Amino acid sequence: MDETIKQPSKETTTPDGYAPVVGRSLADVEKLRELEGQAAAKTASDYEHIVWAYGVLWALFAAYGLFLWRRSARLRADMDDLRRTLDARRA
Amino acid sequence: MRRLLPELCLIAAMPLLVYSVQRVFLHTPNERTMGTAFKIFFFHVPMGWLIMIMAVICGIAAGVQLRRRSRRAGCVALAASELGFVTGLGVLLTGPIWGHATWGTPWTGDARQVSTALLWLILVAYLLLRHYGPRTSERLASALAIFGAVNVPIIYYAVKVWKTMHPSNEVVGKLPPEMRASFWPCLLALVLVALGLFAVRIRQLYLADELDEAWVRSQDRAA
Repeated sequence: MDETIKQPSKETTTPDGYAPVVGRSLADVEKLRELEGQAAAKTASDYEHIVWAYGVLWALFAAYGLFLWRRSARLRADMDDLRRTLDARRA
Repeated sequence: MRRLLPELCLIAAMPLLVYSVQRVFLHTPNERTMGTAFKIFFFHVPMGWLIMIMAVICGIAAGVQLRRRSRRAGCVALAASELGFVTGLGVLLTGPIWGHATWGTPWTGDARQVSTALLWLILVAYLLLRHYGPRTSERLASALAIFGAVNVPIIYYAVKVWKTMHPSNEVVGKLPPEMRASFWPCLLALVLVALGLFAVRIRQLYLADELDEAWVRSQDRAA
């Protein structure tokens, strides 16, 4: 594919600013669109993987945080039980 | 100040996490061969470092527990193994996701993947023994933890010794400046989260230990 895309010359630009596209063959444009499509598909697929990877990481830390929070609640309940038992014995 | 360490770490980590994620996505260029999927690297590598650090801490603490019969060392070893389990699971899941995006396959069975999976399994075995094993299994658990720590240099040198597709150990040092500037905040944020959770867990385990003793003493007095 010819990589240099010829730009329209100033002479072809009409006074109202219309510049017809010249110098691009249909094959070049199709090839360019195909490559753009492939790049877009790869980027979309990469982002899907990134979302999964980041999601897994945050979910793991959140799950461990939840586990620690529940453990704390259980310890607090155990401590209250012990306090109640000791108070009852004292009374 | 020491008592507030876990809370301070977790509070400091929150804005840093937000900053590092926006830096990775908005201010870090794509890697030339791997493309956008390379952004997984910024959290995958710190997780890999964290599992190795936690395994070493677990091994050393288990060694101290074994030698001095220290219950506090046992608590540190257990907390480190739990966090090693979490970070290990993180690295073992994000790695294949990244591999699937770049290599086209999630698992190549190379030396670093296998040795990391082995370390994670050792940590799982250690945790199972500590939670469900009889009292006498503590020595076996400690030996397992030490074996896990010995596995860490094997993971580190795996990419040097064996032929592998996995990126080399020098990849962080060779990062372009703008990528390196994004990597350090990610590492610091994850280290702060891990340190905060680690400190919370150690505190819980000390407290649970003291509570157990208090219950036994109260039962003895009642008898």
